[in-house]
Amino acid sequence: VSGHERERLSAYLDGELVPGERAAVEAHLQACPECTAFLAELAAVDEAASALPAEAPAGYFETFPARVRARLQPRRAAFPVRRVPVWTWAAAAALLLAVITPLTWREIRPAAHETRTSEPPASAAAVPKTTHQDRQLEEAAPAPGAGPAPPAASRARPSAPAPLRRAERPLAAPPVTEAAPREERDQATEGGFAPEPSAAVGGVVPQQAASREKAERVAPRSGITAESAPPVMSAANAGPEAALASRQAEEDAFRRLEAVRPRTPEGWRRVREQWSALAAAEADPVRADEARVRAIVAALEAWRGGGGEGDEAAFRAQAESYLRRDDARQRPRVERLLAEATARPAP
Amino acid sequence: MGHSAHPPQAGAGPDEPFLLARARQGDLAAFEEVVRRYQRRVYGVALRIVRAHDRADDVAQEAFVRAWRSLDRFDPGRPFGPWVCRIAANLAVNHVRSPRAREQGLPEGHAETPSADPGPLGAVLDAEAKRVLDEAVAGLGPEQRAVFVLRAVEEMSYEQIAEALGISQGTVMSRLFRARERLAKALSPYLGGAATRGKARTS
Repeated sequence: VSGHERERLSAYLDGELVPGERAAVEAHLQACPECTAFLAELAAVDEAASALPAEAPAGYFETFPARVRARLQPRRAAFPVRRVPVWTWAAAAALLLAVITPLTWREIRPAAHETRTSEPPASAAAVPKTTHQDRQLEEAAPAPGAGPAPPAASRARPSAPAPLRRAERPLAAPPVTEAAPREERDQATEGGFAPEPSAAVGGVVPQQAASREKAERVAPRSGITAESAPPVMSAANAGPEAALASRQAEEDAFRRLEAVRPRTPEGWRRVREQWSALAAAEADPVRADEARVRAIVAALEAWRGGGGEGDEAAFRAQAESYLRRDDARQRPRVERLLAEATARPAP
Repeated sequence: MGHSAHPPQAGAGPDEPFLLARARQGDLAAFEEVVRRYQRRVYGVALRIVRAHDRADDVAQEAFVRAWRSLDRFDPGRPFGPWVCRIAANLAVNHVRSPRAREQGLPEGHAETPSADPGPLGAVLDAEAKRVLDEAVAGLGPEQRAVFVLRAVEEMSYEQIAEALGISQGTVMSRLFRARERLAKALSPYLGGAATRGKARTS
């Protein structure tokens, strides 16, 4: 029996012969005990080999899924709600300070503003990342080459659910680069929430914008100091715990939605609707504004992600309607989205 | 054979299409559950090809990471297991081929513990036969071994194997045959009558 014929026996065993060949092999097997035995032997080898143990050390599979997940967990925040933990600690410190030193507070505040606005971008970019207790390994996808420091990736809030997000796909939204008046920025800070370059994930955040925002709003570099605290005061005055709790719930809703990264146009359409609903329900104008922009971005994603003309139309309508609003805070960002969406990008 | 070794674990929580749909939307918790269900199978493929735990661990993790990243290309109407095993097999072969792996050399068969369910033939093969077979599998080239593992253990079609390893179906057929032939030769003293007749025939 030739090697070629025995090779055909092997393929016959696997059911990989075309009908004509199969019939020929079967006819041959009828008359050839040798080949019949060889076939049995091949089958036995397969069976024996698949019965060989492939075992891992004890306990290996207990932790394996979590280790995989840790590799998929993003390292960087794309959206300021990620910074909420920092703000939360700042708020806690603020409450403490408010109790301990109510009188000195207002004297600190102007100085704090000075400090904040004169913060050099470089040191702002060096905000240390605090680690997430759960998992912080990042996905293998490397940070963008131009890599400014991740926007304050602090995720230290102990009770926070592990953020679920995909870190692969850059969002469409370019960063906000216009300088907002200080009042507006303070408002944003008070909300714990402000326009943010969503390109932070997978995209490149321009150094200037990223570091400016950090310098303005994010964590103090050496522990919790007064400089980040004042904006919280109004909420605290209204009833500290209650205010914090409700704010926390709102932020969680934003954060959950922000973490949704659908892979399909349908998914993005749902996300768009949810952002629109959040925007409608949101009392805080800054957060409502951001939710509206998020809805526009989601509409764009639905279109970019393979959606049809309806998605394009929805995106344009949503963006144009936003630009007609008197209270639109992020015109340049949305105008840029519109300008860049002249054609569907290559998938 | 192979498939009975990794039951789909039906009835253990949400069904697979649901989990995969969630995972496709970016739900890491859902994907973690999918990993939990397929980890042994993927690790098994990896270990059988790379022949060392630490490397199999690397490969298995990487296979799931790649699967996650490619979920939007995965057809949810098809079973996830073969798909992720193909990814693992491809990674495993590349891993064994890598210069670093070559430097380290192939280990002498992995540490063995008796299998809980050795299967019908495994039951009659004594420990010595297992050791011999394991060494013979280790002695195959990585490409041959990968083809053999995907067929014998994972019961994949030639088409699936060809796709997983980036080779033609004809190459799958010939590599598989050569692998089986070598293993049969090594195992023949333990295969009783079939082996005897096989020896007479080998010329």
